[in-house]
Amino acid sequence: MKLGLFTDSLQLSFTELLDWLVDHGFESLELGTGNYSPARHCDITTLLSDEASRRAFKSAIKSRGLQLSALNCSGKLLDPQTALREKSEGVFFNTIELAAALGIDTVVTLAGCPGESDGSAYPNWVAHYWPRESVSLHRWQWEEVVTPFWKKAARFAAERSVKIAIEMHPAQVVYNTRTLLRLREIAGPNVGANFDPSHLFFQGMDPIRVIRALGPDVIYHVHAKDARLDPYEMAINGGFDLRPETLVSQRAWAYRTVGFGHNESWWRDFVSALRGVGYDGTLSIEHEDLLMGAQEGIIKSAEFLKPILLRTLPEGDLHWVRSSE
Amino acid sequence: MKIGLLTDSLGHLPFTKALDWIVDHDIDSVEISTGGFSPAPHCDLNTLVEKESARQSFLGEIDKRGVKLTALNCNANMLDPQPERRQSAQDVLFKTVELAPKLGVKVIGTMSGCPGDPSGSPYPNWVTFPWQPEYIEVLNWQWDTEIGPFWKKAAKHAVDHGVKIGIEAFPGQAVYNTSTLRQLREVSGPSIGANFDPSHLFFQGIDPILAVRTLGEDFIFNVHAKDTYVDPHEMAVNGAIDIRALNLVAKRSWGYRTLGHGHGEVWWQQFVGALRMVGYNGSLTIEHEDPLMSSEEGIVKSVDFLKPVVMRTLP
Repeated sequence: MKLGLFTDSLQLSFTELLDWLVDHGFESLELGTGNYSPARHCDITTLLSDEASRRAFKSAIKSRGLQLSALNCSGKLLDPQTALREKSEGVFFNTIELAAALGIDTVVTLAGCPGESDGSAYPNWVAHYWPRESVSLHRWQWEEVVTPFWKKAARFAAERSVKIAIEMHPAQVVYNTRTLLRLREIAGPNVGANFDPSHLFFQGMDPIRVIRALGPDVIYHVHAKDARLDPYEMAINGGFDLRPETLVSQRAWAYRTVGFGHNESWWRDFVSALRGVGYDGTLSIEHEDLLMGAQEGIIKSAEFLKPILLRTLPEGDLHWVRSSE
Repeated sequence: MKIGLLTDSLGHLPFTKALDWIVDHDIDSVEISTGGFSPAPHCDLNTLVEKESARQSFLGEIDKRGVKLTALNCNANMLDPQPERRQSAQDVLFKTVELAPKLGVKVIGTMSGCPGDPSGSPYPNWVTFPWQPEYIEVLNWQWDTEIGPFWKKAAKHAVDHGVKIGIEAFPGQAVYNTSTLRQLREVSGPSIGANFDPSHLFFQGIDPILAVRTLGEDFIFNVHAKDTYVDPHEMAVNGAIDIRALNLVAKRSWGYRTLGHGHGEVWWQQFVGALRMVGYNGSLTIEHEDPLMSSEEGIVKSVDFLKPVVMRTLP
């Protein structure tokens, strides 16, 4: 496993960023290419069109001993508004092309959320089976919007040897184990998970159980982000909190720096569960903590994770293990 | 406190047979549905609103058995984005408000409704995670343009008829937890409160006992006694958002159950205690929606469970 950073939260130039990462003990980075990402460190248009830029870009990373773990282009893939959807899809397909051109095998995104018809203006996330028309809307979304798009997208990525890592995320059609596996069944084995535990706690999930339920070969990338549930506010109002994310002191839950939502023992279980299903990639820190600055949050997360990450595999001669018959 | 029954659960029996069954099974009070989501098996709303004689015989059947009519229920989507369905839901509510005082009933149970979006979508849009700005737009529009104006009008209609409306906090509706209940009351006034049904709250992570204490006095107008089982394993894997059919009990992360089959006696004793603390002294109205047993069995088990739990006297 490697210590990585999703770099969007650092307002540094590309080379300053790379130096900063080396100085702080990082081994890999994940770069936003657009959509929700301000794409501070990756000019997708130039990189796609100019071989020399790609060479310089790759060598700046490689010469510092860093690795690019993934490109991230989370956006509004299935948005009912044509302009928004087309823009998101454009960035998404370009990101897959760029990944292939850079020799990276993983693109991170969200699954998207359709509306109620092709021409509707707003997404409609179906989170309950009542009123009953919600269920027919949900069926329509999966059959008419989710399935055709993701079949096409998975094929496009497979042709370029790229895997798509979907972040299970509320307000998106993929938000838990079942919906991720359903999308994978539809789209094929190059669609898997960008596992970010921070979106799962408030839904009542235990991310460690989710990892085990997903099993081997499904998790392509991991975000290291914590969330804290306030037990008192949860008990009064539950997990569906409509208040702005900035109201940390009032909300039932909030995204936090690693270690500020769950303790070291929890994170040890988390990396062990990942290792258990064969994940040996990056833990990419994503800073979205509204109680401290980005550099502080990232450094605290990195220092927290350094002793926890599992770096080596067991040796070949496991004399203390019962040999399999 | 009394043990009550929402008579929809005996929808297979005609009105008088249902009342006989209720008396035979030690149920003290009834809540009767007038329409909306309910097929209203025991109440012909239009006839009762119009005809004094119909009301007399309706009340006569209830009274002569010593049963108390505590509430009328008209759960529906009051803010259904489809105009005809919305109109019909609102008509049922307004008529139910008019019928209640004619029957001597003070409380109506219903839901807040869930609107669509500003673009005229025909589907309700339940906002639960307003992270994208579009959802914030939808949410603000729903409260400012739809929920606020309608419930101001409905609350005034209720006040004019001396009736209180208990809103059932319910997922898929604009009001689904403590803070949205308070928000609706703030918008529409003290004639709007809660029809407190703990079964919709557990899976959201809410502790209904703390919710009762947080709502406080003079807020809870009616109580539904219905339990929920949360499956810890399925919850851990897939979380609370489960849109599979309710009868898939063996797969779902949670499901509605008969009293005592989700939470034990101590929990219900504490729940009744919390209700008493905030001054609630009305009925605990059993609602049977357990897909694992028949309604008659579920009701009998629930009544037997509640008998030693309900507090009947004051200090």
